[in-house]
Amino acid sequence: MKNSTLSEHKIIKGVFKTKISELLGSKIDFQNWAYERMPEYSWLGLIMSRYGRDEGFKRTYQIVSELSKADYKVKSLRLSDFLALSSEVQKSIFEIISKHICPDALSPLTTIIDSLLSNDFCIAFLPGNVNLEVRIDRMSDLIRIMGDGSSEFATDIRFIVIYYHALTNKIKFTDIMSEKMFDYPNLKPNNPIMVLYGSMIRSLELTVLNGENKENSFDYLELFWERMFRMTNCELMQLRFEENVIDYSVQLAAIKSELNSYKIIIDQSYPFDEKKIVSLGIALFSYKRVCEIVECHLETTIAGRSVLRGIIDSLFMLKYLVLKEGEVPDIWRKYQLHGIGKYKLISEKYIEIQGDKPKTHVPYEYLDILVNEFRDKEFVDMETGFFDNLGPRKLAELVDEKDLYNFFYDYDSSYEHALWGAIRESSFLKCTNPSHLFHYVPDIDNQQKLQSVLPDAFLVMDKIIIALRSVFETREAVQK
Amino acid sequence: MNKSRVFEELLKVQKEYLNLLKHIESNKEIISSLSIIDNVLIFWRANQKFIEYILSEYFKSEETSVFTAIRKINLIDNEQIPFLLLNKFHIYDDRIPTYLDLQSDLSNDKFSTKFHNDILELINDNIQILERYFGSIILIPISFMEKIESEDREIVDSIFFGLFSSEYNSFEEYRDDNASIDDIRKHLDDGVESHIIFSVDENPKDDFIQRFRAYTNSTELPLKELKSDSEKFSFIIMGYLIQAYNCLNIMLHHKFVPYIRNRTSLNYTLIMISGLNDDGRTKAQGMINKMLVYYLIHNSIDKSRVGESTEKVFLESGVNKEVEKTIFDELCTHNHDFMKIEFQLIVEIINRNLKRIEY
Repeated sequence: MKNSTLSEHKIIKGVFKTKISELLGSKIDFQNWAYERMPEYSWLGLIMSRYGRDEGFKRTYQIVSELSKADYKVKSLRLSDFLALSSEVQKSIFEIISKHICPDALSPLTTIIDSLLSNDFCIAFLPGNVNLEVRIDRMSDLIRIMGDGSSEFATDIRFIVIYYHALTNKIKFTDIMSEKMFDYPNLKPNNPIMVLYGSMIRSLELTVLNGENKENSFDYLELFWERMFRMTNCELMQLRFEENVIDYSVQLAAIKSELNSYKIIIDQSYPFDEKKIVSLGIALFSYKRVCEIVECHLETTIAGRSVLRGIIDSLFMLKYLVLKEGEVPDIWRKYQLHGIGKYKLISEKYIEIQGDKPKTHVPYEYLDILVNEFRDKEFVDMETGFFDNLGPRKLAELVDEKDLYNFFYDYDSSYEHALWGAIRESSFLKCTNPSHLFHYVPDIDNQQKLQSVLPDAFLVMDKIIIALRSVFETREAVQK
Repeated sequence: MNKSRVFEELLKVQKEYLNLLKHIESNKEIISSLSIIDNVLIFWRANQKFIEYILSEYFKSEETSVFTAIRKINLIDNEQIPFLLLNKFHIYDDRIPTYLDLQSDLSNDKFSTKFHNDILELINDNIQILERYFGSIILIPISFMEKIESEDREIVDSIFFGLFSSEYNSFEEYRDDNASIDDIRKHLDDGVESHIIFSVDENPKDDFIQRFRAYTNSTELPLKELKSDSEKFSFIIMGYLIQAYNCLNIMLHHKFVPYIRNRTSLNYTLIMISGLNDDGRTKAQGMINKMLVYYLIHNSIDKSRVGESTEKVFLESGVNKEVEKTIFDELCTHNHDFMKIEFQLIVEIINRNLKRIEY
């Protein structure tokens, strides 16, 4: 099935939805072959893998034929259904199976079905001391080959399931269909018609599934996956990115040199020019953060992404201030007041605490000094929202940096706000062992390194320097 | 580590194991020996990753004793009392999985029945330990999990061959050279004969051959094809050496103290220890000291004086820990390597201090 493109999605109440999700919504029931049915039919899989396709079909044909004619009703070929029957009936079923196979063929299943679950199963299929590790390996191998529900191997098993339902008259075929369908085992795997029959079988098996009673399944499935999970090891997969080999020290030195030149210019000619001081402050703040990435080796870390997002925020703000200056001449002061007002709010909350004051990384008393240093705090208002009530997305649009927002900022925000995508990407590894159902493994040992943010950090820093140059350009300085 | 939470998980495993054993016990008529071992084996295999974590992270090395090198614990004789009395953490080495190696040849009917009964006895012991000392004695098949690999086996083989004055590189060479027990005695290295113990019950004053005969005649050996003296001798001694190697492994790998109760096992463990180099010896010194003292205390303490009603008070008495500390402190004033202190002096120090414990 082809995946929908973004433009093919429909936005409903702020959510991008695919057409299929819009149509079916919560009615979609993901009946999973690998998780739910494969463990149930694993005994058939073991027979087929032990004897090969032709011989396997012959033997399972004999087994299911006899089971379909048995006095007691075997309603399906699910193992959990077998295990729910009385000991006497179980014995008879396992006797029928044992007649047509070497008991050792099903011994791997005794790692799941122990004598607590079914002593009759163990008696029938644990003929002697079959090494436990060998049995576990055989179960793992089976899950590997049978787990893909559309593989030829799994389709063969699904055919046997349908065949049994046909024998017990649970499904009925027209004569032509029956003739074609039941010829399936005789087809050779490279026959092109196998593809057509395969998809028919898989659809039919799903239909049969809907009519099956799965009440016995839950406990068995839980035990199956728990055992397989515990008895086999994770196969960890981590992404390795190309290491960044560029030496940015020259570039970093150049930025420092340029920032220093602006500092000298301010000292020399504009010691009280708010526009230049604020602009240089924003750029310097970003430069210091780039330095932190380099000096603290944060380029492939979670922190690196938060840092990059902050640098992008700085760019948006600097460009916005430059843009709005014509319209709002005191925008540089307003910007400072907004920031200082935020500090005032924090320090005032702290001052109002009765009793023991918290000891944190925040230097509350110093924040109060900073507020008063700027202006008597009685004259500092405290705004609670964004500066000019503009969020980053709007700012990005206004300063013509929408791409930066769409392709960098949004992604880094996932890290900043601890959204699951970022957590999954950075703090979990993928286990590729099918016996573990491809679970996530917490990356306790910090193995997963992320793609370096350094090239992007310098790209944004370059944009900041360009914006800063416009503030300091000579023409404007001469006019002043 | 959230110790209490990890311990809770461990208790969960212990509880599940108890349930499994009880299930086996109540179905013992229909479950075969093979299935019993298989169920136990699968249980421990399914919990292996957690147990490995527990062994390496939860238990504090020298503060942990492992009751090992025994076939079964004697609960009627209160053997568990001195074990619990000494040290902080207590692991009981579950022997059931080790029976896996023995059940490959059950063609000997007499042995087969004995084998089945032995396993049921072990299950019964385990149930009792888990029920009576839940959370205080932790059951883990530590020897089985530390199963010796082929490299280790070669080391044990070489220790066995090292008992002889002739140089053997294989068991074929050993067998070719030693048809009878007389040949074996003749070929043993000087002084080794007196170090060979076949059984706890033997009389050390008896002649070597007499002791060998007494043991082989009274013991049902599991492999009926053991016909020659040389086969029997190597089977018996290798069994002890492998057991001793496991004890050494418990010391060197986990830094736990092997809690050994009988002379035979201690004897072979000391033989193993004598083969350690200076570095290994230094690293294991603290554990060797504890192992020796615990062995002596185990065999000195009057376990029969502790009744079921007094057991709890006895075990929780702070005096007991003080006595243990005093014994070690006093021994240390003589030598930090207890193996270098005169045996009689150790026994005297232990006995004098044990008198302070109130039952």
